[in-house]
Amino acid sequence: MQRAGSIVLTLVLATVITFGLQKLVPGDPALAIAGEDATAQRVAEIRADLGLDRPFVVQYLDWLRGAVTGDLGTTIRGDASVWDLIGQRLPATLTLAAVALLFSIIIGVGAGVAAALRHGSKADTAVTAVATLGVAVPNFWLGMVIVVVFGLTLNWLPVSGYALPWEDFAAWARHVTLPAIALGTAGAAEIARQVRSALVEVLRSDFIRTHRAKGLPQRAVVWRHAMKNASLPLVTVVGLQISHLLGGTVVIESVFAIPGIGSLIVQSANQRDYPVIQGVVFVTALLIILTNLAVDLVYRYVDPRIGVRPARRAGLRRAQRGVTV
Amino acid sequence: MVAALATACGGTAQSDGDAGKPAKGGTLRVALAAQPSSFNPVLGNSGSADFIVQYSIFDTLTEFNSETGEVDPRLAESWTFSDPTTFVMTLRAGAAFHDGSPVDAEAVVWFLNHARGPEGGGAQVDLAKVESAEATGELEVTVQLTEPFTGLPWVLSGRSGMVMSRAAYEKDPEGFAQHPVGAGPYRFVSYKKGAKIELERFEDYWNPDGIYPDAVEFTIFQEPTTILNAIKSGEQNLSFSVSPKDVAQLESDPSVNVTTGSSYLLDQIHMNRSKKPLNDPRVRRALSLALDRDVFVKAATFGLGEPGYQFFPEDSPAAAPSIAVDNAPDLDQARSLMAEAGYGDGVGLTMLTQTSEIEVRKAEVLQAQLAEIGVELDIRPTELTQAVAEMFQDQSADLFFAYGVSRADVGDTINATFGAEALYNLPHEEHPAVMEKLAEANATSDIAERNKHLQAAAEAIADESLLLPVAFNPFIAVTTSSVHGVRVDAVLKPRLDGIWIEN
Repeated sequence: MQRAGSIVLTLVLATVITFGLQKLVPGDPALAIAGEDATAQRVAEIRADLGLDRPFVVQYLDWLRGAVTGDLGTTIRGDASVWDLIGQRLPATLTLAAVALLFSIIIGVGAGVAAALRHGSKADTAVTAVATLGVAVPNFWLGMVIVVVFGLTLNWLPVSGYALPWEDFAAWARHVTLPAIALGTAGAAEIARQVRSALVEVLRSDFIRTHRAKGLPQRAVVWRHAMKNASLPLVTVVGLQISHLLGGTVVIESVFAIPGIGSLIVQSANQRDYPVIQGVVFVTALLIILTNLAVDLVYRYVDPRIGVRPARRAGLRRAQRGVTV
Repeated sequence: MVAALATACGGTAQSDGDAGKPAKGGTLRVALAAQPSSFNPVLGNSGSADFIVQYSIFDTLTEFNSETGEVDPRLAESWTFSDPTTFVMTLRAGAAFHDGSPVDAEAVVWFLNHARGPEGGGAQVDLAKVESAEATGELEVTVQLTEPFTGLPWVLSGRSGMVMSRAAYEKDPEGFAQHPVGAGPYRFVSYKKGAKIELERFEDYWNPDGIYPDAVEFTIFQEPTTILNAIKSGEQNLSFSVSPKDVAQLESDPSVNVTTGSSYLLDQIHMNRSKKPLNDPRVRRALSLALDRDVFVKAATFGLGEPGYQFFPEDSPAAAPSIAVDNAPDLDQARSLMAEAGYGDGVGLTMLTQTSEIEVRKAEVLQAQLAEIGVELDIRPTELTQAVAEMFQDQSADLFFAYGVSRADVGDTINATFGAEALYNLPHEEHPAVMEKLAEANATSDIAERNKHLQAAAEAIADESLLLPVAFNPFIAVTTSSVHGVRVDAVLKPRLDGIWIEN
């Protein structure tokens, strides 16, 4: 119940803030619609038609009433339903983000484990340095570099456009590779850093020494025991990455001309298409909230001690951080 | 929006290396830098992106010829003004809409009445002087005007001449913009909003000779660099959205063809003439005299543009030959005008410009040139919609550096920019000298006579320095090397007629 309340509150806050920001940023959708024939009178008429001359609160409540009943309205020109637009665009974004996340996890966990096992070696230093660089490099810059190398110079992969996996799997695989790498590299770097540091810590602990003393093979020690203990920070960072990936699509979809909700929000912002911006933010906020919920559930699966009672949960967190009360 | 504020005329093409004989077939993949504002032509309000797509779906009654500045026949085979307020046009026989209905006088009359009616959007303004339209024969339409308006044939080459199918519209008025039906060379197939538009060749098009590709796909991009990459990699094979800064590099690439020419796309400075110091014509004149437009062209448009001394390019029928001479840079006179106006010690002005690298670069060139007469420009790169609001609604800036391209009808452009009600005219007052000349131009159907009056209007605009023209940008089209037949379109509303793909 408490969780449901917090979800609703977060959604309402996100939409209020977006609504407010749209009104604060100068630029009038009526001007964008009036275009080259704009006269002050025509702009005023369009504003009245769109209801933009009503008080802020009235406009917001009107939108909220629609949203609650599942109606996100139409584009500001009224030529498409916001739900339809999001429905058209969301699959591209979700499939791209999923591949980017998979890339981040595979590369990040692999590099993090390799570095932790060779703690203090040159390989460890190299992974740490590359990971630091990976976190720092902007994804659009990386996108442009890999486009030049793999798209234009080597001609291996396409540099623009997208296909959906259920429409043309081969085309999708070709189109998703470069943007997923550009989008997932920072996440891979972050995961590598977190996994390395958590695993180094766990590998020093007594129970690992015991397992080793018992003659358990290295693979079993690392993957069955150490990683299980190091997986809480991994789950946390993966959860955070999902939010970052959804944000990152705004830039990456523009760089690779991918028709997803990231590029939709850029187009809508340029045209001051308030209903679409509002709808996309609403859906994105919902996705992020659901992701956080899923992460919490995974916590409980990974570590059953994370349970129902908040007081106990706080104690567990302290225990996980090694704090003695 | 602002990209349609200004000017008019001719173009020179550089060959794209056409080779072989044009052949039908293939899919033309066109990269657009923006999505069309609407597929319903009378509701569209954007520039090139609208027209490239709409011209493919909708044929027009007339066609603007940017080399001569005149209009050529299209769906209307001929026309005449029986008197300055009566326009009679004869339609060609055999033209049909994509749904099979004929393009006859009744269809055109319905369209004109629809376009000037309450559902006509921007076309209402274009056709405001039309009093009635009547079918006076199976293929003859007679239009009565409320006042002389001989610019009408030019207006009919744009969205107000893009005849829509009445049957398709009346079947689903709300959905027409999602399923447009016109009489153009390509039939609408599908649209994924903001992403891709698919068209196929209309086999019953009245003039099939110059229509070669089997299909056209328009893909919408946000990033200019991505457009270039998509052309270089062959994923797209035509784009009109290329910056002058990329031309030299593209010309050295054997996998692409570049077509350049002159255009009416004018870099211009809008001035807030409703307040000090720009309400003083001496200050405005001083700013104009301080600009070295040749240097601007070299520094900011990579030598591809042309200096803009007046609202229309020099080869436009509306250009007044005297103006270029009067506007040669003269720093001494500019300083003395500033001193006369009380700004001898200098003045600070805020100037909005768009945020792209090239627009900021251009603004910096202007900043350096105006500094010579003591004008300190505070450049504020601002996103377009925001800049229009700040400049023309809030009036919080002194200057707005923007680009604008003329409509086919020069007079229409003058009206949209300097008319008393035009949003972009600050203050919103009529300029009698300009509007009187425009009315005289609209009262004569003799083209030479009309041009003389338009030139007088251009002189009146320059006399008051109502707008600060800076330079005309080039027309640029980039194709993969297999695409030929691109024609320069000086008003940057290119048609795809004549373009073919080598097998």
